[in-house]
Amino acid sequence: MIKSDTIPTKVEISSNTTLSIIRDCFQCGLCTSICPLRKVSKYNPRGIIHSSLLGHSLGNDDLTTCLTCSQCFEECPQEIDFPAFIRESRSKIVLNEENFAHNNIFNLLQIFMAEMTESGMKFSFEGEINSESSIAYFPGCVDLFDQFLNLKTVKFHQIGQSAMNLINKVGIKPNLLSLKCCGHDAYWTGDTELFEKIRKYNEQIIRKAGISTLLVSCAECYYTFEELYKLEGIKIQHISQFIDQHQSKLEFKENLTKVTYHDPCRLGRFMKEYESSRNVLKNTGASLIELANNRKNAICCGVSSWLRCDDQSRAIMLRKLEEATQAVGNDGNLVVGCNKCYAHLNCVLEDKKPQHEYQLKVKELGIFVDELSNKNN
Amino acid sequence: MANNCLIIGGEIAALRATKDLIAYGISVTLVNPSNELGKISKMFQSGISDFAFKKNVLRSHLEGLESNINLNLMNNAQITKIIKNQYPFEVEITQNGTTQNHVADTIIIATGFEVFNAEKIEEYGYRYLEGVLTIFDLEMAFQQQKIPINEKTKRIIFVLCVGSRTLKDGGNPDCSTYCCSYSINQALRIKKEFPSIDVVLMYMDIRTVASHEYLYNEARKSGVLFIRGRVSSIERAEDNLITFYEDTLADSQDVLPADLVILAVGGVPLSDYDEIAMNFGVQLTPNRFVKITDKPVYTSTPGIFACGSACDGVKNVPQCLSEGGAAAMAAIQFLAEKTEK
Repeated sequence: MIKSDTIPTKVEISSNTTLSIIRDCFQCGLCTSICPLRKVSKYNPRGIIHSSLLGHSLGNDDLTTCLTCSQCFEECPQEIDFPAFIRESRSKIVLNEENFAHNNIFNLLQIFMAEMTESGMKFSFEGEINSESSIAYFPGCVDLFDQFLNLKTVKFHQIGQSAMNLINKVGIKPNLLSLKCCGHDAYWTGDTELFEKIRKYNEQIIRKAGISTLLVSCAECYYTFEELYKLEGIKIQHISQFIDQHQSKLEFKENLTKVTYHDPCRLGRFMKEYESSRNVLKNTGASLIELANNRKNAICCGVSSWLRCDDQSRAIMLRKLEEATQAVGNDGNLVVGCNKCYAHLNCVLEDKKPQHEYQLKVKELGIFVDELSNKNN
Repeated sequence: MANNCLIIGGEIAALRATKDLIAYGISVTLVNPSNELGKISKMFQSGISDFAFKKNVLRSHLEGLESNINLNLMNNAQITKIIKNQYPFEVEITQNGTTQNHVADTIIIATGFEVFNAEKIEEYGYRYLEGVLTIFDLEMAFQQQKIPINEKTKRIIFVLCVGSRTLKDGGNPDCSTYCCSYSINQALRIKKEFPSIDVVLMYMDIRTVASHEYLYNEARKSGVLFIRGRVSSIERAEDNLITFYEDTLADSQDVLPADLVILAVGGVPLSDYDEIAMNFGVQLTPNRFVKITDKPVYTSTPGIFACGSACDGVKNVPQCLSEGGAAAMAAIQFLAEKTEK
């Protein structure tokens, strides 16, 4: 008679706690149906959930390809947080860094900054600063992008400069905090230990500064400080919310600018902030034309946590540029509220890999508003 | 005055109709082919299967029923001949070898269903492979507290749609409608009582109708594993059983060992009663259940009504209860019309 243990079964039921995130799945496939990666590859969230529940371990590609853009979680009828599942799974294996974008320089810099430097990033902007202010501004990793991305048409430093200009224009002199990178990427690549180190350092600096509001330009900073730091008593504000709040103190040049808006995943689907950017854009006098896929259905910019920037990423970016061009034409603007989206989309716009004809401008929200607003009122 | 009703059957739909009619003062002759009332219904009402409707719903229907003066209960009885198939109806009833003629003003067919005989699917080895049981065997084991699970039990596999949704082996081409909820409830109970045991359900589609979706949700949460694919065969290995199947969501042929395999058997129409229904002039569906006309519980013969799993197809307990009530109402209406004339 056959012995059952001589017959190899592919099922290995495991009580792995990460699986509790996905146990509710009934395999409807809605996630795979709307996954932006699935439109350009064979990536299959449903299949990944299925094989995980059967006890199969996930491969490096399964884990690093996901953009954690959360479109699947947004729609999932069983409310399965697939991005959280991917993040937790990442934390359990060593990711193969070979395919990481820009030779993984940005994740290495984050480690370097967290482990080997005594202080945070230093910034220098024109404008009035007050180290006693209750409002502090943190621009994010902008200067690092300038140093290592080497884009010719885009200066990331300008994100911070424009924000400073706007803050001054509404009559506020902010404190400028020398924080380390917020740790978003450490968290999402699954390096919880590194993230905790960064968080502790930053929290201490923020507390010491005695501020009540921390203003940030990047959607990832906003999500990270608000959701992951949970700083009691300190309000985190995204630049769009800040401008929206001080709308009445800004005046705008007459203009015929056409603009469309890309909802960054961390600001939109993660933080449910869809209105402030739109209010701000409408108030500039520019005509706002929506993307075909917007708000909770906005398609990811194509890269997440510098994990991958491959053909699939590029295909998604080009799709975004196509969608934006259909909305505002070649002479219009695609405004984003996230430093990362700004970097990725400008990167593909500039290096033309693969070859394309898109000519519209991709602008960061603060920069766009600063350009259209009058110097001082 | 027309005021007597013949009900054929003895399960929950028949009991509901009986209760409603005798409460209305109509005398009921209940011809029950089985030796006790609610023999199948009690599989849905106690032990680990009390999910189907309110607990004790069967008991509340049986209470005080047999002593009711308006009820003539005939257990182990059969309709053996139809003498007149229109109002007033006349039939021959055989009970314990003796026959009698009986006149009825109206008739309700509530014969329920017969549990599919799993032995007909040879590949599953029911009755000759140790460890292969049906959901009702498991239920009875729980009711009698002879639970076939011990510390050596590592995995239990439920095989769904056994004898349902098939044109083969004398099964029912329709869905039984209870086997998903029933099996999932059993799986969930086992998982909760014995968390270290792997509980796997092999299914084709999950149809937890009505309000039973919560069972499916809870089962997944508790770690019951669902694999989509119809089991092709079960074999005995040295120390346990092996199931063969295709995981259709993974496009992968696979096998899975188990200590117990539980077959979720469906229901088929009662084998002897389709002939009787036809002799009443009542039309049948292609799957040999009593056919219902445009009006619910009305058969193609005036004065003959049908309810529960005897008509259309196998149904769950709440549906049988409401159809039993509806059939009683229709019978009362029919009797009233006959009385007026």
